[in-house]
Amino acid sequence: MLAPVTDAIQRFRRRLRLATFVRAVSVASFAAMVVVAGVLLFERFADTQILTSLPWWGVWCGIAAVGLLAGFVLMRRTAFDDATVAQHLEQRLATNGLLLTASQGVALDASYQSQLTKRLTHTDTVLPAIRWQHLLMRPMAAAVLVIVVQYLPSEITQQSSNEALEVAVERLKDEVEQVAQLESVPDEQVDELRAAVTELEERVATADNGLWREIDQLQERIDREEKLAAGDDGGAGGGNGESESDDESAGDSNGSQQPFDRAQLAAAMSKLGKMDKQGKLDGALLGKVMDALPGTIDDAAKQAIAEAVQEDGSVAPEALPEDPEALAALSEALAETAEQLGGESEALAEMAAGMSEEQVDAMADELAALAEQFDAGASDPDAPDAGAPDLGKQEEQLKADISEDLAKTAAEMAKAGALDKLPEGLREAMVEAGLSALENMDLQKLMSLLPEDLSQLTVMAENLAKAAEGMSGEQGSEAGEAGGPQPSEALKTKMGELAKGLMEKVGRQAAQMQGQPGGQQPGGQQPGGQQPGGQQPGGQQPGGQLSGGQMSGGRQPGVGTEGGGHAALRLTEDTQGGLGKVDVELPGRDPDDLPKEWVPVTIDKAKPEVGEAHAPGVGRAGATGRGTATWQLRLMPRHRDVVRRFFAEKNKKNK
Amino acid sequence: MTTMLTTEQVARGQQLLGGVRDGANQVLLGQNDLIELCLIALCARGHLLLEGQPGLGKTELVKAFATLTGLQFRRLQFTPDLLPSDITGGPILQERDGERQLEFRPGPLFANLVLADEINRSSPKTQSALLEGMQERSVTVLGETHALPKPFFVLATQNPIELEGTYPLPEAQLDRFLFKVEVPGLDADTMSAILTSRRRGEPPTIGLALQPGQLEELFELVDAVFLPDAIANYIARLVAATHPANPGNSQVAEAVRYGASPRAAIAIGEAARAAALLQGRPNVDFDDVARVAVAALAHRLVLQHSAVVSGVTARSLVEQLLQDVPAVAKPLPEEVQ
Repeated sequence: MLAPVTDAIQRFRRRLRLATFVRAVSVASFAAMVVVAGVLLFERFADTQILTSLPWWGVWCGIAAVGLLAGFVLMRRTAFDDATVAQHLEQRLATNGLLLTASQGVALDASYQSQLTKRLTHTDTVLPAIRWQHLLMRPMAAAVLVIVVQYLPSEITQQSSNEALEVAVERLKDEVEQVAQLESVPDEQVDELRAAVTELEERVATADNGLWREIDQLQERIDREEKLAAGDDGGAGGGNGESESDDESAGDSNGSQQPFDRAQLAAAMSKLGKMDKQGKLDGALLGKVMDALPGTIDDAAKQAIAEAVQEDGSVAPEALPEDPEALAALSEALAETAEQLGGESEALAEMAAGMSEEQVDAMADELAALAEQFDAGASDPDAPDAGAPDLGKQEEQLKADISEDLAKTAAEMAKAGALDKLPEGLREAMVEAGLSALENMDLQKLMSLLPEDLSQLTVMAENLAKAAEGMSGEQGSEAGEAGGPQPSEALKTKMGELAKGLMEKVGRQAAQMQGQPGGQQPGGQQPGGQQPGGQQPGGQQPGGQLSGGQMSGGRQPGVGTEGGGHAALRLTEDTQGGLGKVDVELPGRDPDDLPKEWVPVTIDKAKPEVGEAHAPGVGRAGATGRGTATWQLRLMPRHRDVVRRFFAEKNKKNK
Repeated sequence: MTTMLTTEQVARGQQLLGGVRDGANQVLLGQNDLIELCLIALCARGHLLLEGQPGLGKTELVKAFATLTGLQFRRLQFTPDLLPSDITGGPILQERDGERQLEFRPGPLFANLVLADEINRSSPKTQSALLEGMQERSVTVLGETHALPKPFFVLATQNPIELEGTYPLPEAQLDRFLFKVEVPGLDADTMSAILTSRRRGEPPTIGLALQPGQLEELFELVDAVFLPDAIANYIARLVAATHPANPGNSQVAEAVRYGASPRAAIAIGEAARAAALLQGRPNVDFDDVARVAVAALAHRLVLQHSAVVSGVTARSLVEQLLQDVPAVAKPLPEEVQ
């Protein structure tokens, strides 16, 4: 290659590299300065320090370093090779292709070489000129933006920040006043909250860093006080009696749920403590209770609860965890566990003997007639005194005669949901009398009479639970409004426990069918509607004894368990009830007894489909491709005028 | 190291070409561009298709080239009943020494310069008989291949307005023509000159411009013209831009159904060499490509039906592509002028 050609190409190339580098630096520095401006702006409004903590010359040096580095990289990537440079130079010098020819190493004739050399002397005039104005416009604008943001008056950005802080503190102030209206919150707490809000109000003007964090902390504290106050208000009547507490807890389950019922928790913990004192609650059982607690309670909370139960059965609330939600879930779980560990429901579960609906309806009618007699005798103030002793004897006699029947009837009507049909007086009298008899009934006998069908058991238990819940709600409200006697709490409790017994049987049946440890109740409606469907140690007798025909819970050490896996299966007559082999004699075959619902199956020949016969051809009627060839005929440019003329004449004729 | 044409060689080439050009200009007045394109096609050893209205001198131009170059000339008037054997020749029964045998008798195609007048009036069967001769420079009859004389040129004419009873050339045959040149009309001054200088329109008598052997010399000079890589790359990008799959502009994407073939790129390269020599350059320049691109590309584009009806022409598409496709593949940054 000629030396002048090489020299010209290199000079052109160097100029191009410089231009490329400057352009790359311009683009990179522009991007960097825009980012810096954005960060600075963010700092102003978010009250943070990312770049402002750095010296200003450091920021600018960083921008310059980023620009130079990116410029170098971009320049390397977008570099022009010699061939391209030669083409651009050829375009500018207009050597009629001689430069391109010479740059490829072709030996030029002397005259052409002299021509080319002469043209190359004008290389300086055709070297690419950098348009500095165009290159520096964007970086300069970005630099101005950074400077403006950097020296932006603090009042502009401070104002919006202060406004947000003021709104947040004002909201806190309102919430503190709401807390102050709650009676259960001590005045000292309210004063302390007010002082904290006042302090925040004073600091809003200065817009201290970290003020948002303190606002959030105070917000959490106010929320906690509100929840604690709500818990105290909900459990304020807990000390008046157990029945009242139960009513409230039942109402809670039907109405709005309190996040934390301190009274309920205290009652449950106290009950656990008493059981522990009576020796019913050993360490293993307590561990089982803790394991049955909801998973939302962490181990530390469980440990705190275990420590909160004192030796004398009392509870030290201060030792409990402070998380209201955890405590709420814990209280429910403990109450549920305590009720089941009480072991008082097994006897009442025997009432759920299997009876037909006809029997239940007949008995309901009979009891309705009795109720009318009761009501007539009790409500007739004009009745002669002489007749009163006879009526009392008759009543006592009636009660004595039907006491055992009443017990069965109560269970049957609860099963069928027929208790609602009874008058109030009869309902109470029947259940009181029936319950007194139920205590002496043979539990095993009643339970063996229950149907083995799991679905029937489930329906029976749900109906019974619904009846008990209905009694507690309707009777309580109606009796309270009428000013009459309160509904028997024993009735409600016993019916609930009867439902529990049924549910336990359901659990056992389910466990036998699924091969799982007994006591896993199917999630459903719990007696009284107080307990959510969950895990219960169903079938677990007090003291950890297993009832017959059950599998051990699998967690109780030393009782029919082998580690944490499946427990040993103890087969009894009950367990074999649904699995035993039974010989069933099948009916003989008789052609006349064949089912009439069968569908005759025949095989028919398909009917031929006769369509319109035609002989399609190109351009003929019925041809599928008619017109296609004409349409696809390519119209050559020279034919265009002819086609247009043809259609123009045709249109004239049509007109 | 590759050597290129010397100044003397280029001048020699220019002299030879100039003789033919001047002679043709005497016959056909006012058609200098057309004559140069025909000369370029001749130097590139390509076939030429002249399209124009009757009376513009297409046939006279071809005859003038035959006279100026001294090549054997045959004229074929294409009609619908023309058979392939009428142009290629065929076997005839001959009796020699008491024995009868089939002997191949060459047709009018066996000439250096064949004028296929009104080529679109013959049937496609006859048109296709030209395919082998135009591409392979040979004719195969009854399984026997006969080489055509060298050089072999087909200069065809066709009338774009009389379309009844015509058979448009298929794309395969159009692709075999190096150029398709539209013969432009004449202005009043030219026609006035024709009227005053010629009786009954008869052209002046011209003699040989190229002596025997000079045409071969001219071909060698054209072959020696250097085609730089950058220009070859430009030709390739230009041809590739005619394809709708990789369009050079939006107009191509909408109007072109099929783009030009690689044969088009070869034709442009060869024609650009001849154009460079005609311009007195030892190498091809971008201007040479632009000069021959329209004539070499336009008839190779297959346009969409909608584009044809809307009046888009292949010539305008190529002219637009010449403006849109940059000569240098990698442009300079905007910040540089």
